[in-house]
Amino acid sequence: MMSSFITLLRRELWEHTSLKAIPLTLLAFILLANLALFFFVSASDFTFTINTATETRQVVDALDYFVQMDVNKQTVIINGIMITTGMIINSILLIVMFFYLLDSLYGERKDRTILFWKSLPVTNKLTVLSKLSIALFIIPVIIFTTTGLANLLTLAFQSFTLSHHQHDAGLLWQQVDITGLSMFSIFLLIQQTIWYFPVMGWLLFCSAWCRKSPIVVAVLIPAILVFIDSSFMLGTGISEILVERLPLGIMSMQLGNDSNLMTYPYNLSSQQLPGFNMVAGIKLPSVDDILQFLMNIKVWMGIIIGIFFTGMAISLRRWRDDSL
Amino acid sequence: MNALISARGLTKNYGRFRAVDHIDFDIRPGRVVGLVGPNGAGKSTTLKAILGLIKYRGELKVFGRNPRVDRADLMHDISYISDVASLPDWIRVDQLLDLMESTHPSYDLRKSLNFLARTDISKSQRVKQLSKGMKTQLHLAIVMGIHARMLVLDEPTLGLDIIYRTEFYDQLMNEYFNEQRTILITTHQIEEVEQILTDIIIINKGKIVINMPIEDIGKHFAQLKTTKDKAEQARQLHPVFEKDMIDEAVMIFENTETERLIEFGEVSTPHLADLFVAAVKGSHDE
Repeated sequence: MMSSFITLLRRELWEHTSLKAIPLTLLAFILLANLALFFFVSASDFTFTINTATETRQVVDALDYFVQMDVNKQTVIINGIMITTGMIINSILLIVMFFYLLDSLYGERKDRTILFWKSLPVTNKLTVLSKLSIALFIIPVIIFTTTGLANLLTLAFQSFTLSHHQHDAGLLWQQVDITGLSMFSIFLLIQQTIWYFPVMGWLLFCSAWCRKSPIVVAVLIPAILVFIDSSFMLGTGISEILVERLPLGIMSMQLGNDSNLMTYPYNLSSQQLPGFNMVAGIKLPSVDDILQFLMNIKVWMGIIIGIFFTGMAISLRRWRDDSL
Repeated sequence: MNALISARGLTKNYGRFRAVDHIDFDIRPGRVVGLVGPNGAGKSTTLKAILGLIKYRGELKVFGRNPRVDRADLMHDISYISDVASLPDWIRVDQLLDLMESTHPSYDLRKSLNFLARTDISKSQRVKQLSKGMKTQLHLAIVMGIHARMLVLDEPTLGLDIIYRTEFYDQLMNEYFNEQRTILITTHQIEEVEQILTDIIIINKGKIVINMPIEDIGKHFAQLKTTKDKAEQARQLHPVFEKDMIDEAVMIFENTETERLIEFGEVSTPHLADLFVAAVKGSHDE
């Protein structure tokens, strides 16, 4: 069974080439952006003003400006670039995941290959779980790897730029806490995956259920529920539940301190906040932080709903054939 | 010998449309069974019920199992080809073979490779790059590797030219079939399977109209070729089918003594194609 499951995972990666093509395209884009920065730095003739407590200086070269900057500010810039890169990659791959899940069970009926897949001695449960596993495990690994590679690429490229302009090539590496940032990313990715699990289940369910356009149903039903709840002020709380599971929901949970859902806040600004800040470096979540997240009722409700929708998708696939 | 497939009162409705209507049949091992009928007769629905792909009413046992709950297990014993369109377009031949080897416990990769070596198919080609005929060959190569007790073919040669169709059935019978294996074929082109069938089930409008071994056809049906002037007298014996030729008439009779027919002309066992038309037209006229 394990061998079949691994083969099914490989099958998903063979079929959905976007899971490889998009990260590679993003890395190519990062490379181009670094090249553009290299030429910009070399050709720039801007004048920068550095204000310190004791003096004010005019600096012509952008690299000189960066090198002479306060160490804390350098850390903020480097961490800012790395976090922003990670967030962009994460957002794009979440969109890829959205379309992947919506197509995963609908697509095999649309192109009639379901008859071939069902001719294999593989259960519907294993098939659906293999598709869910791509969203639960493989895509977060892809996000982590792509972000890591993109940031290493940037660090290496810009170190070369510094060295090319007779500056210390090791400067960037001294300012960045790669291990801390990696651990922090892993924690966020696990948190994000658990948080979005009910959404993944819902998308799988829509993909198995809809006879046409699963995207319309997947978006329309929650939208209608939110509309009815807010228009008639029913106060069922469903709007809040649905909205906070949207992509921006997790950000608002983390950035705002109003909710007690995410007890591990981070902020992209250089303000001194508990948890993560770019000047002080990275403070990894404590066992208490993790436990508090895992003890949250909303997290467990989400897991139960995710399991329910996944079970429904398995059950629906059992009776699906090529007739859509 | 115990039946591999046994259906009693098998019924399937799609909304208000009854695709399969209380049919009974048995399929025994070592047979080549043709499930034939016109388009929309209920052939594919019956196959889907056998393969556990749809819900149905009635009793159905496949290898002693209930296909509604044991589909994945059944696929160890059944190899299934729907038609050439069901192979995923994006998959490469080597990936397909890898997939089969990893998911089928009794798959023999060497047999598939031996078969493929005699075709123009390259392992690095994707299915979408193959012609319809090559896709059928690829499907057959996979089937060769699966040690299944039963092969189910649903319109396997649909859209193929006569050369590939003939080659497909030749290879199937020469290289795949033996007395331990059973083949169930659905088609509406009966003439192409006529020579290989051991049993025939003709289905029309969801009901079975003929179900018998090929060797029994001669016992139940007789074909009379008669002149136009004797045709009217022959009609008094109530043929189930009649075909007018230029200067003669061909009639098919069911359970009519040959001695009574012989006085009107030449009596023989009907061709399956004529019997098929007779059975379908007969059930239309009811």
